[in-house]
Formats: sequence, C-alpha cells, structure tokens
Amino acid sequence: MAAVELRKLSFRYAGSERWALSNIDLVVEDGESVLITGPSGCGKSTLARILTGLIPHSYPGELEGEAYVFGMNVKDTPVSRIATRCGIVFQNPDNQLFTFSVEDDVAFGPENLALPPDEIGRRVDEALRLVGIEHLRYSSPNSLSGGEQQKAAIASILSMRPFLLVFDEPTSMLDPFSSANLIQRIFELKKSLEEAGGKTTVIIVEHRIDLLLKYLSRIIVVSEGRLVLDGDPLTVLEESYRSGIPINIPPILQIYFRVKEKCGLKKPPGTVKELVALLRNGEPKNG
Amino acid sequence: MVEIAVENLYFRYPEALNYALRNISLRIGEGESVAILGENGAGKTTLAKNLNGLLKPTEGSVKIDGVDTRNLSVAKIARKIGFVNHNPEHQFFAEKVEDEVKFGLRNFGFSEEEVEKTVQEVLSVFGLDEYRYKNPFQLSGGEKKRLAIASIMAWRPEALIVDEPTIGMDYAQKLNIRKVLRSLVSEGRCVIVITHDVDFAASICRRAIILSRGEVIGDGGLRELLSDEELVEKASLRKPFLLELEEETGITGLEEDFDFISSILAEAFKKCRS
Amino acid sequence: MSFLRAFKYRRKETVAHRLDPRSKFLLSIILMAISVVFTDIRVLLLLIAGQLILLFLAKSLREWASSLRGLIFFFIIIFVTQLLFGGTFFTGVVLSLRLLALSSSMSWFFLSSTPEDIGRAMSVAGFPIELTFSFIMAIRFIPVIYDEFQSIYDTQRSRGLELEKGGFRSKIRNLMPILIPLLVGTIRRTYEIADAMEVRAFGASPKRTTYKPLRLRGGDYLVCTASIILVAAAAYLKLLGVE
Repeated sequence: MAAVELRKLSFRYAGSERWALSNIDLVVEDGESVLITGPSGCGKSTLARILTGLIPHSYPGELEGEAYVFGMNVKDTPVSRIATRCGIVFQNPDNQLFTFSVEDDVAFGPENLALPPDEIGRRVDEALRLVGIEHLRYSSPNSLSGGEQQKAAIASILSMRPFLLVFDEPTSMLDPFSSANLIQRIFELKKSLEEAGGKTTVIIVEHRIDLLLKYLSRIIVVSEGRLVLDGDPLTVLEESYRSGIPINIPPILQIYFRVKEKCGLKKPPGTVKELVALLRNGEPKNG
Repeated sequence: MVEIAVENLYFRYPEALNYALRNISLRIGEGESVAILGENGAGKTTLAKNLNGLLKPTEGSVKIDGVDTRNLSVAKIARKIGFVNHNPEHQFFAEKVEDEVKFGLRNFGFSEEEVEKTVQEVLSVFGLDEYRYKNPFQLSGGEKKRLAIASIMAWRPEALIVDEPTIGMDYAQKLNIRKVLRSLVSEGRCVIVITHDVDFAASICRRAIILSRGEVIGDGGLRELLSDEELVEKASLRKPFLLELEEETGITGLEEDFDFISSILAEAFKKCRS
Repeated sequence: MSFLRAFKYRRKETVAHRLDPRSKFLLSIILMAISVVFTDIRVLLLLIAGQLILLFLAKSLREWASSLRGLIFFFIIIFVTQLLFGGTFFTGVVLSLRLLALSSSMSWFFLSSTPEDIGRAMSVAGFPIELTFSFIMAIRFIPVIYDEFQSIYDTQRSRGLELEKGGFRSKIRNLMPILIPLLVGTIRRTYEIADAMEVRAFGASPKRTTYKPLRLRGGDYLVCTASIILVAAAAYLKLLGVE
C-alpha cells in the first residue's frame, strides 16, 4: 500500500478565489525520503496539511479529487485516526508543546488514544531514546532551545508510532547549526525505526535544500499550486535551473549546472574543493 | 552620521544569574556595514538592544554621539538608530500599509504635510506602492519584511539595525531584502545586520562582530575573520561559499551572480586543462 | 505586566507538593467552610494559625505574604462598611480574619499544587477535558505571551511610541499598537496549538488515560483523616454553642 496517494487533487481555502492546489497527482511509496519544495506561497504547506487531514477537517474549503494516506480517505477519516498513521511537525517550535514537561508532552498523544499507562510509559521511553533527548525528559518546554523543542515535538509524534512523518519547514526558525543537527537526527531516527522492523516514510517540506540533499531519494517541486517536477534529486534540481524555477539550488550545483557542458563534467561535486578540482582537472579517468 | 561607542559593557537580564554580555568594547560609526554573527543564544539581539537603548547596561556604558544611553529615552535614540524586529508581525497594528509607515513619522512629530509626502516616497522606494491601502497582514512574508524596514526608514534614521532579516525567507525574497539593504549601505547609512546566515552577511557587510556566549571573539573585516577557520569553528559558523570558492581557486572579486561566476571559472580553467 | 512574571513556573519539592491534589482540595474546602460557619475569634485565629503551618510546610509563606497586599483593600472596605452600618471595630476585625482564613486556604491549595496536578485533579473530578486543557495551557503559555508582549513593546518603542507621555486618552490610544499585535499573535498561536493538538489525536476517544495517574498515598490518608476530624471538631464546637 502506498503511503500517500493523491489523484487530481485540488483545494481552495474557504473564501479564497484562487486554488491553493490544482490537479495534483502524486504517489509516495512506503519508505521513501521525499522533499517537497517550491517558492513561498506555492502550496507546499497546504499539501502537508492535507496529508494529516487538517484539511479539510480543520481548514474549511473545497477539496476536489482524491487523497489517501495508507489507504484512508482523508475526506472521510477523522484527524485523530489519520494521526495514528501520519504525524506532522510544524515550523514554530513554541506552539507544539503544551504541558510542563517534555515527558508529559510525549505522553499526550498516547493518552489521547486511551492506551494503558504502562504502554504509554514504554512509548515515551522509546520516543525519547529515538530522538536522543532522554536527558530532557523532565525539562520544561519553556527552558529548551528551538532545536531541542523541535526534537521534543518529534518525540511527541513518534509516541503515536506513525508510519509517515511529515515535517513542515522544521528548520525555518533555527540557526544553521541546529538545523543541520535536526535534519541529521530525523534521518538517523528513520534508519533506527527501519532497523527495528517496518518502514517509515519521511516527507519534508522545506526551502533549504543543501542540508537535505544527501538524505533524499526524491524531490518534488510545487509552483503556484501545481506539481511541476518530480523525480530524482539531481535531475529535478537541474531541470529547475534550466526552467528558471526559483528554488534554493545549492550554490555548488548552481555553478556545476552552468559549466558542466563547457567543461565536460558528468558527476556533480559535493564540496567546493571537489568542484574546483573538477574544473582544474576535468573528470577523473577512473571514474 | 552617528557614533556608537561601547565601553566595557556587561549586561544581565533582571532575573538571570549569568551575564548575557561580558566585557564588550567596540565602536561603530559613519556609514559602516556591520554583521553581528554568532549562533542562537550568543547574545546578538541582546547586544543590539543595548545599542539602541531598549536595554541599559548593567555595567560599563553605551554612548550615542557621546551621550550615555542611560540618559536618553528610547524614542530619542530611535530617531537616530532604527531597529527592525525579526518578526514584522510584532509591529503591525494598522489597517492600511500606509498607516504603518505614518506611525513612526507621527510619533517623531513630522507635520501632516511631511507625513503625506514621505509616505508616498518611501512606499515607492521599497516597491510597496501597489499595497498602499492593503492590510499589512495580507502581505506575503517578504513584503512584510520590506514594509517593516520601510516603516522604520521613513524617518530616515542615520543608522539601521536589522534583526535576522532572512528568517523564513525563500531565495527570491532574500535577494530582494539584500537589494534593499545594499542600497541603504550605498546611501552611506550605517547598517547593522544581525544574522546567522553568513552568505547573506558576506554579500552586504564589510565588517563583522562575532559573538560567542556573550563575548566578542572577533571584530574586524568580515572576509578576514571568516577566513580564520579556528574562529569560524569556535563560533559555530561556516565560511561563506564565495569566500571558500575564492580561496580554492585563487580568483578574487567573485560577486554573487552565478552566471558571472560560472563564466569566469569556465574561462580560467579552460586554460588549465588544455 | 510584571505580575505575569510570577507565573514563570518554579518547581518546589515539599511534603505538601507531593500530596494528591484531591486530598488537598478536600482539606481546603473544609477549612473554608469552617471559616464561614464560625464568627468566634478564637476559632478563626486557630484556623489561621493552622494554615500558617500548612503554608510553612509548603515553603510558600513568602508568596502568601505578598498576596496579603491585595487583601488590604478589602480589609479597609470591611471596616468602613462595618463602622457605617452599625457594626463595631471588633466585628470588623472578625470579618477581616474570616476573609483572611478563607483566602489563605485557597492560597495554600494553589501554592502547593503544580498546574499539571490541578489539571489532573480536574479531569479526574469530571471536568470536561477541553476546560482542563484550557486551564493548563493558559498557565503554560503565560511566559511565552509575556515574552511576545515584551518584544512588541520594544518594537513599538523603537518607532517612537512613548507610553509615559500624554493624558489618559492618549495613553489608551497608545496601547493599541501593543495590544493589537499581541492579540493577533495570540489568536494565531491558538490556531497553531489547536492544530498541534489535533494531530496528536486529541479527542480521539472520550476516555483519556493518564500516564501518571493520581494515587492516594500515606500522607493523603492523613490529610483526609485530619479533614474528617476537623469536621467533627467543628460540629462539636457548634453543639457546645460556639458562635
């Protein structure tokens, strides 16, 4: 079963004239690591909300087409049920922790699911361990840094054991150091979850591409509500460059795409050193 | 022209045990473009708020044109040193964009005539004329940032402190803000940018003040400081991309225009390889 | 707005804090009831003395003392109305002591209970879950909103806003640039919080379980017994004809 299946999906917020999303066809298979990106206002956050059911249940509007998350029809399934399969972390670290200790926040989800206390205890321990914040267990959310708050928010979603993790611009309020740290954490925990058995799908909605590039299997570009590019990261980035779609192509690649034909390059460099070496010496003979 | 002189500044928040800023001494003057860099929590915003009088030193002094900030009201200092908050929504309260711009002007006692004239000018300089009668909350993220800056520049302070201008902005929006700030620098205004985006800082500012845990660990030319790998690591920063490129290739004068850079590089290395 | 700073939550570890909020609530209610039922000054003084001990056990005497400042206003009103409407100075004293006893037992309950304990007690007591969480979150977010207020205030001051200047009417007008962004920000925040709660399955089932269920322990049984004894003692005193 696919994690996400969207067919001819269109959505318009109530009271708005323009369509936030138009005719989106998208399938995300279980276990993928996908980036959804695009210029501001393109509809990426709207898409993220649909995956959780917040649209249409909390955000009224016209939803046309079909949207399925692990086979559940988003239109007919309550948010609380979708929440057992799909968890989302939002961009503002402040507003996702509502109790007085990280532990209580991580327990919040399972408590809502009316699980027995010892099961809740197990899940809290597991979630804190997966995200690497056991030392913050008794901390008050107010005392945590932005990066720590985001990690706590992730833990509070993990305790519900979702199969799909959606992140809506999780690093936009963090400094570069915390951002890189958070992204690394996200993919480490994806690996840990998979090693324990069972696949986890990760969908990240983001502007900042360079931090994520090495972890992704797929990039989707949304522009003005439409899905314009979808595929392997490098190909999509190059296509975006050629079509002039304003996304944050990493600087090294910006240069690579421009010079590759002239200098006969085939493999993209990962660092500035590599880029310059390629320019100097051309492609290495053996490889 | 405004002179900010900081001497042995120590600052502690009222309920805190530790000093947020320790032993800071520096001078910022005419027409300088300064980036205040450092990771979150290093004290950048705290320092900025000490520079414009919102916070007063616990020990030491901050003098604006020779007068201690403790003897000046925030409004008086604001007339010379504008401060743009990182969150534009912390300032919007009017129904129309033009009223946001008029607010500061009226507070500083401009006549209604001057206010009307200035609003028109300011909105057009910042590319916001078409939104004049719109509700500020309906603008896009980038437009809000521009409006925040415009509403401060309206009364033409000689210096401007901008706190984290690029948070949450996409690439196109960043370029736009950069253009705005660069034009202020070229006008000869003193522009102080607080940011953790080193590439953005490098494209606007000549000088950098690097903070780490409340202390200044670097103050000088931005390029020199950010070439120092030990310093960069200590402050949890990164060398700007263009700087790295320049160091690796030995080619200087690379401006942030990828077409331009690429053609230079392609030319330079064609010779190497053939 | 500095009174909001008092809500920046401070954790305390005392005997009183470890008690189950339900037993503390019972004791508080009984103390309050007794203070209402008696006018004998000896009883009231005894009650207050007992409460001072309770407050001492909860290491909250300082907070209680500062709340007294607010009560002074009411004491004055009591004395004035007594003297105006046929009472005596003495009756003024008695009524003031009663007010003190009442408010001190309420104080004790809140000062010795953490907000999450109060929340847990509320949900066990059968309060609707939305109410319980509204209460918890209001307290949880007070420091956050305070910080936002501070940021907005600083921003507007940097645009030349001077709250100290001007007459009453202009002071009110000058509050708009602070209140409006604060209100808008707070409303936006509530939407985000609501979303975050929904995606954690809030409302999934009418029955919620609790990770750390409230458990009555030794100290609680002591408190409950004490409460019962107090009720008995009060009844006995009444039978003896104490006012």
